[in-house]
Amino acid sequence: MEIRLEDVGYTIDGQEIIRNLSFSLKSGQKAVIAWPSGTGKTTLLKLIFGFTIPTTGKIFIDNQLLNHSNVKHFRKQMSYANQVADLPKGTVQNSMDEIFSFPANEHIRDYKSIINNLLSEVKLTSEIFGKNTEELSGGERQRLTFILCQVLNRPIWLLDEITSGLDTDNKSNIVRMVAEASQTVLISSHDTIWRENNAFTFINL
Amino acid sequence: MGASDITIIGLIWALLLLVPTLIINYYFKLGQLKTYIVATFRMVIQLAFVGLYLHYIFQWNNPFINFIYLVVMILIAVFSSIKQSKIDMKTFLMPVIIATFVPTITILIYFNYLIVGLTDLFDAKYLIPIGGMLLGNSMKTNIIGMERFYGNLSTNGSEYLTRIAYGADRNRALHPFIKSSMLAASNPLVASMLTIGLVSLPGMMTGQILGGSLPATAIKYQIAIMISIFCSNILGVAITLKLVIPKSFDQYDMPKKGIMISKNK
Repeated sequence: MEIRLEDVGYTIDGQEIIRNLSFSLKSGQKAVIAWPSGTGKTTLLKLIFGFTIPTTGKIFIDNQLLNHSNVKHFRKQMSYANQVADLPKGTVQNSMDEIFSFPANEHIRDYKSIINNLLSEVKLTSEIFGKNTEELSGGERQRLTFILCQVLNRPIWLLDEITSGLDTDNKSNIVRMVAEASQTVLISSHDTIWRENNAFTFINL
Repeated sequence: MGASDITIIGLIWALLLLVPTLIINYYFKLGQLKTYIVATFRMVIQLAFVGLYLHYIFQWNNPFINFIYLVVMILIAVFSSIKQSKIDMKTFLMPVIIATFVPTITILIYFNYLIVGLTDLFDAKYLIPIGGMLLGNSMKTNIIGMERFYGNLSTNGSEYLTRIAYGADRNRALHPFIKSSMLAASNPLVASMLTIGLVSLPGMMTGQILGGSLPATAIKYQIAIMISIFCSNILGVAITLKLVIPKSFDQYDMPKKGIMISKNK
């Protein structure tokens, strides 16, 4: 699924966060935004996910202008793993049960076994199911949210600082898995590790 | 057989009970002299007025006037409670008015017709006190419910966004917020139903017994009024939430800004 931005700008409280940004990602293409802190990386992902509305310019997903009538449809085509990697409250088990009970996800019936199989790839164990989502460490959350992206298998991934809290092994694991995925992926990250893999292009300010 | 009337002398004796409170105020340096006196003074004046117009309303006992009186009570209750709370008047006025009118009037008619079996549904003797009790409770719970809902949404908004991000529709994503709001609104009455009679006599029963009713009658009224208040409270909060939620989100399902007035204002 394609993402295209045309002259997108975002201003809030008189402050211009994003200015005349244009780029496009073809289906399956993977790009990294490595702009300095405070230059609107997170805002850009929110704009594409429809959590924030651009002040100027247009965002196209799958060649359709993102607007109020299709935003709910397109959100279900995207996984947005954000910086704080929020998960519904309760144990991880409850949290997963809830997520996979939403009509958009209930077709994935065997999510437990899929998650279980993926846990070892990111060096987690099934013990995590019993933990409370609020007690997870930053790194555990990030890896769990990333697994969720894989299980939900939506055509677009928006990954906000998905590797920032991880050790080198875990980082390179996740970079490799993202590189091998069939999804269109937009990553916001300061990590230089993404540059070591030629699956990623870089979007400059 | 009613309660003995209280003479003017008796009332003065009652007001003299203010003296110990003022002494304590002085002793502990609470600085509340003016507040205590103003509050007492206002209570006397306000109740004197109520006594005056209730005297006529009961004398005329005209269904139309009684109904208008109830409507005015509802409007005053709505305005004063919205003003006291931290929510935006413009957005909430109509929903709160509707959410107060519909359950209060419905339950009131239900109470008078089916429970008490009155032929005159708008009899002042029933309409005004029962209506007042339903109203006072329903307003309070409505405000508690809404403050909890919007307070939660502004502090735990990311939980809502998370659910939306994972594919929940708005109602599904709001479920924890709606639940905690409904519980906050219903808990006080549930708690009082659980303990009623164990600790103290409810005000309505006290009044009825003093007025000469048999304890058995007073208890039956108390049961009926408690469950009526419970029902009108829950209905009120549910209707309010149903009406205000669509106004609180934009077409992208994002919470609109400025619904809650900040606490510092």
